[in-house]
Amino acid sequence: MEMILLTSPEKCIGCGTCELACSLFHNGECRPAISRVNVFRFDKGSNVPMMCFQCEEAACMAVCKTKALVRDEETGVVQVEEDKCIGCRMCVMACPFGNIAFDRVAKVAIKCNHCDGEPLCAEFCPTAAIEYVPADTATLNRKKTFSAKMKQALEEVK
Amino acid sequence: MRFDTLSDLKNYKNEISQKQDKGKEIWICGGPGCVANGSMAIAEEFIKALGNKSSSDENTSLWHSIKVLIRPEEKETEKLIRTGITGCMGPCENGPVVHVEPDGLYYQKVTVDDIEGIIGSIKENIPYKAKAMSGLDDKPAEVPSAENIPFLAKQKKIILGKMSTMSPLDLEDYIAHGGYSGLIRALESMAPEEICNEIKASGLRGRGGGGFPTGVKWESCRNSASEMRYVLVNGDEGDPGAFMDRALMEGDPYSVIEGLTIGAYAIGSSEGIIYVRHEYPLAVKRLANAIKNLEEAGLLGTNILGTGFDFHVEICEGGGSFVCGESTALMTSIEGKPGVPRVKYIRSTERGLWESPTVLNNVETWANVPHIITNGSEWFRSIGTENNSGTKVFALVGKVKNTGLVEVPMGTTLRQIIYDIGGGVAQKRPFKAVQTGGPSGGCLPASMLDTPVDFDSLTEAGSMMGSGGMIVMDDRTCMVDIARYFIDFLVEESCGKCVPCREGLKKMQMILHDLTNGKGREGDTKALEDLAEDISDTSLCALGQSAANPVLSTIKYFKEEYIEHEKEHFCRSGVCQGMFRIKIDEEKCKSCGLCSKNCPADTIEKLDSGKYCIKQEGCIRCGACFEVCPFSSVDIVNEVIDDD
Amino acid sequence: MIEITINDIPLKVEKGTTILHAAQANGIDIPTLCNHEGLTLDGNCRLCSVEIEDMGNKKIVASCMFPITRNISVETETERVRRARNTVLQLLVNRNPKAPIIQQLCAKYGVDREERFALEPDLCIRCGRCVRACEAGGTKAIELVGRGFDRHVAPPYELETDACIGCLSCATVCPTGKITYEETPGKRKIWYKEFDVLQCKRCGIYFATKEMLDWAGRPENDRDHCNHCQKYIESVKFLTESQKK
Repeated sequence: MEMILLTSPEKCIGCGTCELACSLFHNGECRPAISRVNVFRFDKGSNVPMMCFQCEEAACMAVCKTKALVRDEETGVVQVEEDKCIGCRMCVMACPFGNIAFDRVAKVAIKCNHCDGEPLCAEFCPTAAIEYVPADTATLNRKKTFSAKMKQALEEVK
Repeated sequence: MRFDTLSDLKNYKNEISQKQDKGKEIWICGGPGCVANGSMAIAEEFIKALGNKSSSDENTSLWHSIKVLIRPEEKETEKLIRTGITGCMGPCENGPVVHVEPDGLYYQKVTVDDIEGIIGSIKENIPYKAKAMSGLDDKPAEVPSAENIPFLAKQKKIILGKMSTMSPLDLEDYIAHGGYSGLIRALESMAPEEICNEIKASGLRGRGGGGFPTGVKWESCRNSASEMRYVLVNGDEGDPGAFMDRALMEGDPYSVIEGLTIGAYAIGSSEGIIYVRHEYPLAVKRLANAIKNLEEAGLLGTNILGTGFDFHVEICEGGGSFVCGESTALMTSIEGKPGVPRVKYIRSTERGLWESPTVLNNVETWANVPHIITNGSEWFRSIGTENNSGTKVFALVGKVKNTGLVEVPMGTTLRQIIYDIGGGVAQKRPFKAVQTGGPSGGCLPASMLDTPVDFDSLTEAGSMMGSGGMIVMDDRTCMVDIARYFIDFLVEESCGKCVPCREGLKKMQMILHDLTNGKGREGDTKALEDLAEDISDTSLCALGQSAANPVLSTIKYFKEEYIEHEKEHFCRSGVCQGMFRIKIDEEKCKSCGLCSKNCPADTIEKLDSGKYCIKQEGCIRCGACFEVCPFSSVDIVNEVIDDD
Repeated sequence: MIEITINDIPLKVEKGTTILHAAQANGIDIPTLCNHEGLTLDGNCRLCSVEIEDMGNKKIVASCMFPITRNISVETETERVRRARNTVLQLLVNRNPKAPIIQQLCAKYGVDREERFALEPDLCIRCGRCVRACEAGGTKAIELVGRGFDRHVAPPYELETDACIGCLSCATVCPTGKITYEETPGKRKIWYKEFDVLQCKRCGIYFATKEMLDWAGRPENDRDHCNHCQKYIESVKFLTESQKK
């Protein structure tokens, strides 16, 4: 079954453990700047963890000319095939959510790939603000509601 | 003139063939050599002399009437006479050439002053002796017809057959000389597969040099599933010294297009492209004229001769890059990209131009097709040798007495071509080598002169057929310098895409320049051989893979010259500057003083004995004395000579 | 599936697989330079040469481009392959002695620069990866121009061109570091062209050229932020949404 990363801002305490785990796993160093997940901290203790939504119609994939961005048909996750990436950064330009970045050192696009099925952000989150859960009706509904709102918000901007 | 059905064309051919008296024709050779020698002006004067006004463009089909004497009755009769420019007739050395038909007489080195004489001789019905082409022993032939002229008698002109007797502009002429019989036969009585089979059975092999069986290529293209197929003509002839394809495109463009049309019908193509190098403007003009005439006549376009077969031909001019003669580079060039070869592990007959199945054949290959279809594969196989049927056209150039364009059956030996047709080495100097196959070919020594000229024998000998350039070299040719010349050419012409060709040829060039500049090092010859092998092994396209041939073949047959350059810094041929000394052999010197008169450095002195001697101090080793000495008493030596 | 052998190891591969991919999938090392998985194949460096035996014929082929369509046996370490590979490296190091990748390969295969044939040091190995990257992106701003030894990469007429969007993918894929660019606050210079680089309204970093955003189809009214700050802005929306509940 497809799995998704479900975030609950209300549970997030802004500790940033997810960012450290993410960058350590993917780049071998604890550096939130290159983490695929980011925690944004607001006043009054409100914190929001953000990572790629694995959009169904992914703008990053559409714009990639070398097919370096491909969706794993089984998991639904959009992966970067690093050896195909030519560093044109069009995906970075195209993602409306800022969820794909360019690693200037490795010279490849970087984005959340669910850590190949064992997302460390979820594993290390002390408060279950990030959960790795089956994409069942309940969670999908939640995700969909969110996506719809995001889309709406986005269109308002346009 | 328009033919809407097959019978239209057949009836027309019948009509022409039944015409009895064809009148007299004066043909002036319009080959590049003769044009350079002023044949156009001569044609102009002929027209004026016959009382016609010069036509605006190139003159053709200008008929005039003259009184001709009939022998032996000695009575006069009115005859029509016509004059015009043809394609290359072949004997370039002796141009401008004039050919009188139907008598079949050839005149050489014709000037404006001979016009009256030639016209007079036609009226009198006798040969014009003053400029009759040379027969045996270099004397003007009594009756200068092809069979009495060794240069022409020993050839078998099939592809070049029509070229001396018709206007390259005139479609009527082409049809009158048997043109379009092939297409008629193909469309009327042959299924496309049958044509492929006929070409296969004929054993025709690609005349561009590779020698791939043409029929196999066609069949494989025909069998590739595709909506679109292309037929292409490779007219990007770029080998130094080669002008066979140029002569064909300029002199008989219709035969190339007829062949292409038959090929298109056989493989199921409706688009043909003739790729001609930009440096052949006249070929482009003649081909364009032919295409226009053929379209008007209904022999190109839609529903050709009412058979439902559509075929369009376009001309694409190449930008002048040698590598565009390579098949994949040619296609990339047509596609509008830089003419650079691509890796072809998948054949062009499956994926060629615009990714569609494509047949690319050389100009001469296409020109063979109408003859094969008209006369049958058996006839074609009766010419030449078993695996090399048909004839091959060569551009015989270099230090040979009769340079020119020759056509011989495959399997003719190098000796027959160079000596029997070419008349041997110019100025009776000793023969040293013959280079065939252009920059991808090699140099063969005197011991290989009996090699039959065919694809397999030449490759086995270490050279290759190539498109048909044949450069004869005498003893004043340095083989290391020749290798340097070809490598220089290839360094210039390599597209630079792959490393071995781009960087490897450059390295080879550096070694060869060292060798020819007296800076050769121990082991250079071996280094050249090794590098040559690696470049052949690893290069991307045929140009790179064969680029080392000039080096490999010269090392193979003239290794001693390389060793002399490498170890002794000596050039026995007196070519490489500073690598030889010149000495006059006192025994042979006849005291004529020509050497002294011609010495630009004024360093040849008369000795008390009356003999001449070169003061080494002032000698610049230009070789002028060597050239002028009528007694071969000037020697090239590798010794330090002290001035007395 | 087609049965082949590489270095006598029997393998089964999908028809059309290149020798290089088949070898890589089975842990057999073949060096490459011009090959880039995201780009069209070109086969120009010839470093990946291997020896194959195909219907009795032995020949050297470029493994990156040779599609396996029938039973062949492949050798990647014969004397002939070694010579081919070393010759290619030798020729490259004579001209490109300072390219780190060439230095590494030469060290690995034991090839030294020849002083006699040492050429003016250059970093470009003319592999054309930059050109193919530019072509893949659809911009086609640069091309390999000139012939033979003079072949080099340049925009049309060696002048700045409208086609270039300053995305730097050419520099990214360059294996030798030949392609460089200048970056100063708000400006980027590459291929004779100077670009304005947009500044993120939130964090102040310079993040992209206008031409890049145009090329990617980013809406005109949505170009104020770098991707990180965009993510932040989205998180604000997310927070607002979740607080509404």
